Amino acid sequence: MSVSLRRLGQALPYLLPALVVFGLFTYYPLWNVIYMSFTDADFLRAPNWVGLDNYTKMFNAQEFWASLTITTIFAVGVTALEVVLGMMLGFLMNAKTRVTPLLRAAVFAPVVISVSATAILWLFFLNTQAGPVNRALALFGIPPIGWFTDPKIALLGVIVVAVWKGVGLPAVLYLSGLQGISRELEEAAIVDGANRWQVASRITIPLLAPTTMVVFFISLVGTFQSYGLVLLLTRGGPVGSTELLGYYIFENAFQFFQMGYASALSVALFVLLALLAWMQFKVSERRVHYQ
Amino acid sequence: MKKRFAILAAAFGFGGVLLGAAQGQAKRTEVTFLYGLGGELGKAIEVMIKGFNESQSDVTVKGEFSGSNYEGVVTKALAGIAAGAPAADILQLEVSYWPRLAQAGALEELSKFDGFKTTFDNFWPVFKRQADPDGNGKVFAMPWNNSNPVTYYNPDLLAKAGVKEADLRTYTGMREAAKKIKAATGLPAVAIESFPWVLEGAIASNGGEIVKNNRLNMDSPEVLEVVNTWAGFFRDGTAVVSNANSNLDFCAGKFAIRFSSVASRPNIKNNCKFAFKVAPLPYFKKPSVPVGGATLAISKISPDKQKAAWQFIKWLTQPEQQFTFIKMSNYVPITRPTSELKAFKDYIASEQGLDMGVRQLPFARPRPSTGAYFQVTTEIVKSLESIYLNNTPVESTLKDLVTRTAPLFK
Repeated sequence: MSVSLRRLGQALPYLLPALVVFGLFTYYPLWNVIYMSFTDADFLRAPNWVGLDNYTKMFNAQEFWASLTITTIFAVGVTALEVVLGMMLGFLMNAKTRVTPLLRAAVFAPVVISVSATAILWLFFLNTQAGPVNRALALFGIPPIGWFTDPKIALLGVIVVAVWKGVGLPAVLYLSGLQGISRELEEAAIVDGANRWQVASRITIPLLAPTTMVVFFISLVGTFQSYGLVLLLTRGGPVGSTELLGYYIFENAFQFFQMGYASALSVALFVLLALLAWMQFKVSERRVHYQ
Repeated sequence: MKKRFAILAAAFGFGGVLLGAAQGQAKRTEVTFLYGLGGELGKAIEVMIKGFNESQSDVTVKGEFSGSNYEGVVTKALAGIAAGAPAADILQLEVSYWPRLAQAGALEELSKFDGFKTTFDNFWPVFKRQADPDGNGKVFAMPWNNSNPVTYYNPDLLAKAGVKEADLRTYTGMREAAKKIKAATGLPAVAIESFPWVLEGAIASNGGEIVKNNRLNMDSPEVLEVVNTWAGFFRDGTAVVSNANSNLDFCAGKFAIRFSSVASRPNIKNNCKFAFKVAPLPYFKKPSVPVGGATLAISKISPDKQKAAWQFIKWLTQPEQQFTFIKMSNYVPITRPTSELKAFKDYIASEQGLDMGVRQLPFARPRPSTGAYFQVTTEIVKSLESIYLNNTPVESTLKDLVTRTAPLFK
């Protein structure tokens, strides 16, 4: 028996529990979804093999392309805002002031609030007719904004809520990144005459590149899969303007009982995310500088 | 010796009592009931379950909230079917949901159960038609929490515009009244849903049908007239599309008129500081309202559990139980004997508009029962929102809608 086989034999008992869990709850469902994407499964009767029909339908469906476009805008919008705001909040949370503990709690609190509670809260805040936000805007002569009811605005409304709910995690990751940067580098730059902005832009932010990559990827993957907020805030409307891919999949699977088609959509989403992951690794290999 | 014997006998006797009690407990058949209403209506359902469990000693019903709404019940039911074990023994299914599950053979046929005919014959005709659309005597879902839409209005805003309740009786009259309300108050007059429930009633009141000959009939002249009139409210600037907050907006005085279910009344009453009033749903040529709400169905389960589930459903449809539930929920009575209870008549006379749901029952009609209709409604919503909010032309948008949905009916 070769050394590597012997070592594998020794390692297997330790790996087995994790392998079983992954196999049962990740690889088996994944395989099942791929299989179902080639059938007309609806959970109500035995599925029939339909070959590539679901994929053909997907590529010809106007709704799929519209939903992919909306999802891309949503994902890019939310990710960009989470990166920028997360970094800014990370800097604020890293400052040692009296209000820092309160700020840290306030920034992270929305992350642990349930999606349902978030939706109820923001349906009230951004209510077109009587919401506090529109009332405040009215004081400056701004007419009521249909945050969730105007087809041109609704996606922006959902982005605002998604960023409020999600920015706490990037902020904490940036805080952790900032605390890992040696103070000596910043102090040396200050001794050399750099001002605060130069220290931040030339030293701190570049050194946060690994954190930025993590935040960027987590946010992008999360937003591409997102559907809960849309389900509760807009149900994909008005006029399909917030129909994210995740919601489109949910709608086809559990409202229209088209499990086969929903599986094909899920496979497409999986391929898209795998592609994004591959790109992230490639970029981080070339562009991210570690200390 | 005698003393020992007496102690032994007492011990056996006590043991026997315990065993008997345990057997008595074990004899109760347990059935699960998955429902899709939360909040006050969910609490009302739990009160009914508790009442049933305390009323007899054979069956225990365990209630489970779907966590979201009627769709949550279907989602869990589907997952159960896929797993080969029903999600629950009794399912609360929205009136347009059950046909698809029944067609797939996931529900028990109910006419075989004891006392079915007596129970079914007591239903108002509209609920019989909703439960047995083909008229072949096969019933898979029993009516339970059913409703119809009414007109809630703010009398103060109407008074400012000199509009009377009689002006809201027809849609054409309401459109003129809406212009007056807008002029007098600067507010939109009415909230109109893009979900086609109220629309189904409006179309029927104009002599049309939303689904006819297994196709969406929204390109017919009757439907075009209705949608043109409704779109007119938006073109006049007198309407907003209703949404999840519309009850709150109505109560905040942000518009004057709202079409909503009779079962919305507890929610509206809790939120409104002013004395709102209730009027019948408007019509075009003759009054007509659609039925709403949900039914109760039994999953494919063992005969013992089927019997127990049926016992619960039958109990819920009895007049006394119906009345208890109506007082908490404001749903309409599904059986004539409930409508004829003196206590019920006294109750609906106790407040303005409480009687509107039952007054509209004689001209209520079932919702479309084809399995595809649920998916079709999603497309209808998109098209109506496009007409109302994006100002797209009515005729071409509806023609496109009919073409787009045609494959769904196959």
